[in-house]
Parts: sequence; structure tokens; C-alpha cells
Amino acid sequence: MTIEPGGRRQPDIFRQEIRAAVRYERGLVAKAAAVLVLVVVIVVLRTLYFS
Amino acid sequence: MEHVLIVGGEWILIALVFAGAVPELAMTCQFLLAACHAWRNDYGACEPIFPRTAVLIPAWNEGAVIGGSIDRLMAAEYPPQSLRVYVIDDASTDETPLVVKAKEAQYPGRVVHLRRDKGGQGKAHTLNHGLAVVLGDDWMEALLITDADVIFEPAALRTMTRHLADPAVGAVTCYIKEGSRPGNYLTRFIGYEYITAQAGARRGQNVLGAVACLAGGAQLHSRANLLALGGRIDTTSLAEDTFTTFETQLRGRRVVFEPHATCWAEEPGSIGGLWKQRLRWARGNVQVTIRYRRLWFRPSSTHRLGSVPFGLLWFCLFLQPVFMITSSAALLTLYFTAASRAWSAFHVLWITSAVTYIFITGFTLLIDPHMARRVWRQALLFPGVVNLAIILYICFPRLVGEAARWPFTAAGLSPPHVGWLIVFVYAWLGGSLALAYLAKVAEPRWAGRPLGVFLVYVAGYGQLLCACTFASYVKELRRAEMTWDKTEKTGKVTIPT
Repeated sequence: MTIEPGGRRQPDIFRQEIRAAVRYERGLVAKAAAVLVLVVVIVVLRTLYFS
Repeated sequence: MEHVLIVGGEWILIALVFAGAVPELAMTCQFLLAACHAWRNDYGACEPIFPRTAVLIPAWNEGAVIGGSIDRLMAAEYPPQSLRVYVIDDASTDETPLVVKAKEAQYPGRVVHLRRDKGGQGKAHTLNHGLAVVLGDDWMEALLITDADVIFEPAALRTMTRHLADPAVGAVTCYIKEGSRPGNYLTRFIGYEYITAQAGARRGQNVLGAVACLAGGAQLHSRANLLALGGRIDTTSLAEDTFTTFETQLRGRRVVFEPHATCWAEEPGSIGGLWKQRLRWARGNVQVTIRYRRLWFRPSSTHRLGSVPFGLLWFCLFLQPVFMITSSAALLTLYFTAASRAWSAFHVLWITSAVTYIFITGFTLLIDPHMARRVWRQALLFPGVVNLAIILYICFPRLVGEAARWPFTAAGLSPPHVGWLIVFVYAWLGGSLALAYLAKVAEPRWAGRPLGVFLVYVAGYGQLLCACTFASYVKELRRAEMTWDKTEKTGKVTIPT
């Protein structure tokens, strides 16, 4: 296969983009956790005050 | 003895009621897996490679969209000498040949017009015509199959090809977003659905190691994978993309979803158009389920399609209408035999629904905040107004109960008897499918369009899709003719800045 035809910059761009992608994926963990906390808060409020 | 039978029967009914929440629980599990994509992904094996890529675009009367799509592909961040576009013109009767010929002249050697004299056999036949040409010599190292209306973001292709550096990867798909502008309520529902079904669910499938479907409009294959598939696409079903996905994985190659490669597609703006498209997809899924009947729940060392978690995910969604109807029927039976148990079962069912709804909706909107700004209203109303009211009641029973009674007490009237309301609410899960189907029936009739919109919002867009899945069972049981109803494209796709 054709490897790195974009000149010397290509591997640098590639590494930056992979790092950004992995960072985004890690951010999703925090987002999922935040939504789970929201769910727990609603369930607790419902159980304590609104049932 | 009789008492034991009654109690046993009640527990069976209660279990059937809870079955109504199983598809949502499965979806929630898939989203929890998606959150693990940070640790279990394919980025470690990626390399910045640019294989010589042929793009196959099947086109039948795509004059309105094909020119723009070719221009966008030519502007991709990809070495020009390593990218060729082959348009397989399926005997178009509009200006498609003229547009493609003009692009051939504009991009000499990079755009190729292939014409079939006899068309209308379906997408798979058209693709096979192109495959025979691109596999005829050894120039092509990778093949991108796409649709005439799909517009790729400049970095999408090179972001996808990176995965082919790993010889274990046979095919890569990307994140297709709904791009009709200005669009309407339905395209925004689809926009939200695509975040859940692709950016969310397919991340989860990456983590599982088994992907259910390469998007028909964006599938990149290595040459080795195509050759292993026999150099042809399955022509015997309506879901050629799902068959290709399964066959790729069955032969031991992985399929990867790349969420950071994005393209935009035009989706139906009418219920009738959506129904035709989804009925084709759903019938294809029935065919896949039957064709691979010996695969399910049989783990293999070659692939993960037979794993128990993947099988559960597949069948929970595939059988969603059955679960919904069964749940409602069981609730109603319990209501007339053991009303207090029915009330408890109803609460547990809907508390589960409420929790999964809040989690899936919240997480989906956070996965793609840019798209979320456009579709958040449809995200909230995805299950329909009635479902939302039930969820609100379940979360805040006293508040909602008092609010519902207020108009009557303010007018000095006594609130209506709740018996019928309970029957209605118990029957709703299954009944909403019928109402959603009514939206499809009403749309082409007089004043049907506003009525259709109203019914979709009341019954729920999700229910419309479930009704379509149910209709696909019926069509397959009746062995109805398989017709390729092409989705009409008008060139409304724009990439938001």
C-alpha cells in the first residue's frame, strides 16, 4: 500500500489526530458518568420526595 | 393446585410485562459499552496509509446530486493519484449521464462513467457491475462503496483508510449524519436516530468486536476482503450491506466503525418515503436473521457474531415490536385478573423505561453536541408525547396527578373515572404501534400531512420504526415481492460550517 505520500508532515498530523480521537473517546466516559449521576439524582428525588 | 397455577400464571404475565423493557435495557448496555470505546478501540493499529482507492457510486437518476458528490470526493484530503471515482449509471433516464460525462472531462483519469444498458435490478447488481471493472486490474487496493447523495467531509476517507493498515481489518464504516437543509421534523428525528444508531450503538459494537452493519452509503473494503467475498455483493436480499458485513466477519476479518470520519446524507422528508426505506432495511434484517440462523448464540474463535452479547443485542432490537405487544397484552390480562399486581408491574416497567430514556437521550446528545443543537427537541420527543406523559407521571406521580386533576377541580367538576385511563395506558405500548402505522396511512390522504406529523409526535418516531419492523415480519411471512424502492434524493445536503 502507498505509505505516507503527504510528505514529512503527514505522520505528525496523523499522531495529533489519533491523540485527539482518543481524548474525545475518554471525554465520552465522563459524559456517560455525568448522565448516570443525573439518573441517580432523579431516582433518589423521586423515591424521597415525589413517590 | 388451582391456586399454584394461578400464581404461576401471574408470574409469567409479570415476566412478559417486563419483556417490554428488554429492548431499552439492551440499548442502554450498548451505550455503556460505547463509553468503554476509550479503552477498546482500533487506534493502536492505525497507520497513516493512503491505499489506491476506487470509489463506487451506483446511480439511477441521480442528476440532482451526483455532480456535487463527485466534486466533494475530488476535494478530499487524499493523494489525487490514489483516488478514482467510478459512477455506475444504472440506465438512468435523467441528466445523470451528462453530469457524469462532464465530471469525467473535468477530472480526466480520476472519474470514470460506467453505464449499464439495462437497469432497475437493484443496488447490489449495479455494484457488481462496478466491482467486476475495478477488480479487473490490480490498481485498486481499497474500495469505498457510497451513494450518490453522500457528501464526505475532506478528512473522512484518509481517517477511514488508516484502519486498513491492520490486515485483520477487512472493512471500515464511518459516521453518516443526516444533512438535509433546511430539513423538516422528520429529517431531524432521523438526525437524532443516527446519533443513537451510529455514533452511540456502533461504538458499542466496536467494543464488542462485532459490528451489525456497514452503512450502505459509506463502506471501505480492503482488496483482500473483497476477493475473499468472491468479488461480488449478495444479490438475493434487500440488505446487501448487512450481508457483506456478516460475510466479512465470518471469514475472520474485522469490521470497524470509525466515529471520527464523517459524511452527510439526505434522508426521506416524508413518512411514506421513510416507510419504504425502513421496510426495505427491516425486511433485509429478517432475511439476515433467517439466513444466519445457525450462527446465533454459537461463539466462535473466528468471529464475534455468534457471541451471546451480540446475539442478545440483535434479537432485542429485532423483536422489539413483539416485546411491546406482548407486554401490553400481559398488562391488560393482569389488570382483569390481578389488578394490584398489574399496577406494580406497570410501575416497574415504566420506571425502567424512564431510567433508560433519560440515560440514552442524555448521553446521545452529549456524544454529538453539534448535531444535538439541531435535534434536541426531536430527541426529547423521540418516544412520543403519550410515552413522555407516562414517564413524567412515573417519575413524579403526585405532581402529575394533581396537575391532571386541576382543570376539573377548577371548573367545579369531578375528575373522570380512571378505569378507562388505566386500560388505555396499559394498552399503549402495543397500541402506539397501530397509531404510528396510522400516521403512514394518513399522510397521502387529504389533510394527511399535518395529521401524519401530529400522529408521529403523539405515537413517537421510535414507534413508527417499530411498526415498520412489524410490517416487515408480515411482508416476509407473506413472501411479498422484493422491490428496490429507491429513496428520492433532491440535493438538499449541505455540510454545516
